[in-house]
Amino acid sequence: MNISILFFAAAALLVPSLSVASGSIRIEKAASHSMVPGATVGDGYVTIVNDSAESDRLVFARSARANSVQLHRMTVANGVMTMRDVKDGLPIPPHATVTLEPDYHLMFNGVTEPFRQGERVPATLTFERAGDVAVSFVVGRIAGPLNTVGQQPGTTDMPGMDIKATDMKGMDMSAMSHQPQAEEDPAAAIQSVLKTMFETQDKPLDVGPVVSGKGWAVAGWRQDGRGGRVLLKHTEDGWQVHALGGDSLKSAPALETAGVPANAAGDLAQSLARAEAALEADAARLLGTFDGIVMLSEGPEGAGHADHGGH
Amino acid sequence: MKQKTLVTLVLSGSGLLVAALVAVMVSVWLDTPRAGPFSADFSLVDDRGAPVDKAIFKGRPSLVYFGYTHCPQACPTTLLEISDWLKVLGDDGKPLQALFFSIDPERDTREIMHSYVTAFGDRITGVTGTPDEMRKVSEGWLIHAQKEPSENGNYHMSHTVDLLLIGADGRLKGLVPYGTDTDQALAKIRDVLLPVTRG
Repeated sequence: MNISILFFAAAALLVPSLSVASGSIRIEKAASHSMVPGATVGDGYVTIVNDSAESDRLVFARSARANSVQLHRMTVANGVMTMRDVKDGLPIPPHATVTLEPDYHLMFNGVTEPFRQGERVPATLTFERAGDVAVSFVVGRIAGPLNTVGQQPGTTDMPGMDIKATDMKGMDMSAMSHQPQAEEDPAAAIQSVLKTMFETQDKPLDVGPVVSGKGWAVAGWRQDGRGGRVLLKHTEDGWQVHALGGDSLKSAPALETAGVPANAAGDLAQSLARAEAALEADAARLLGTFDGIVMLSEGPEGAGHADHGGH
Repeated sequence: MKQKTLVTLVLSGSGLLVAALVAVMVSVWLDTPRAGPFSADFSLVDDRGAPVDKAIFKGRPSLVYFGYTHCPQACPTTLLEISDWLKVLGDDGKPLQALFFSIDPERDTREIMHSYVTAFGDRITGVTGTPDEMRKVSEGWLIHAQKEPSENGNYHMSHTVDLLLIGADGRLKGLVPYGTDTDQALAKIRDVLLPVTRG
């Protein structure tokens, strides 16, 4: 069992070239909206690719975060939206890519711990032929399009986009402009990751400086008059947010406490000090305003739990 | 029948989806000089606990949406849009009130409504109460709201997703269909709810 399976879907969203493989079925995107306080249901959207010559069918979904996960189909006719359970599953034709939105979504029912922007929600999709596929839904903003990363600017065929919501909102498409070179340059890739996770339409996220080394990185950020630092770890699936903090992610000992190996923490702290010295005083001060530390990365326990979730 | 045909033509011309329900609603709107304003008596409560009756539709122009908190897409999208539009309108939009009526009052308690609407800022008021009282309002505005059974005794709601634009006189002035782009929605709101009076 590999911990990275949990991260596959998240990385697939951020790095277009990667995707989850489970036999013939790949999940190229998995994203959810953050839940409105008071709501007990969450949604989920996936893009499913069938590479084989056999047709398959999505027949079941489950998540430790929900009492049940259903597949729904929505129709709007005459100004009335109707949502119905899809009982007989969703056919995945051979050599086809199936995108849930805008007509379908997964609905997580009975969620007691609301989905928060920036986190990942583990789930398992069950296919008739391919069997169980572990998926991790990246939680984005509260409404509007979720998959703005991984699309080529100017592409007209955007199966992962909720075109209607995009047209409707004129939502920020800024994340689109960060592709496709993001995977080459750590700073650009990290900026893209963070913007996808944390930027909202009315609260632009300013990322910088970004320092990296030995598979770890620290990025400063400012948003809406506040700021902090993010610790990221590079995995085979791209950059993963490991922890959020302020001055708790500054010195070498602090970085070690947060999980950075000693041989990387020292260099990282030194580069960070140099990079941040170039900031204007106000921007530098904001980096320390994030109180405490929030660990985002799933530990091995989390992965084990998800792997055995169906037993 | 004759009237409905006319309405159908008008609707086609304006690019709206033509539907019996919308036709009826717009016929009420087109026929404003003779159609009575919304007149149902009802007794509900807003998300802060204050009583709400039919007087809420009078005195200031309103953006009125009927939805529910178990709604995965249309409701949060619409409320987020309303909150964005009000930001864009700024001072111009000060006279507007935004009302979110729950068509699922059995599950949407006052507390839940309060958490829900405040997530979209301080401009949207949630309204809930008993199903019977809520039905008076939704039927009064010709809003479709119907339970669709799901698993384990759960249900979804089929519901009208158009936003109602109601004038300070308590009469329906227009609709913003779900999916309308921001510029068109703002133009319509300005046009029918925020007329320029100087001149």
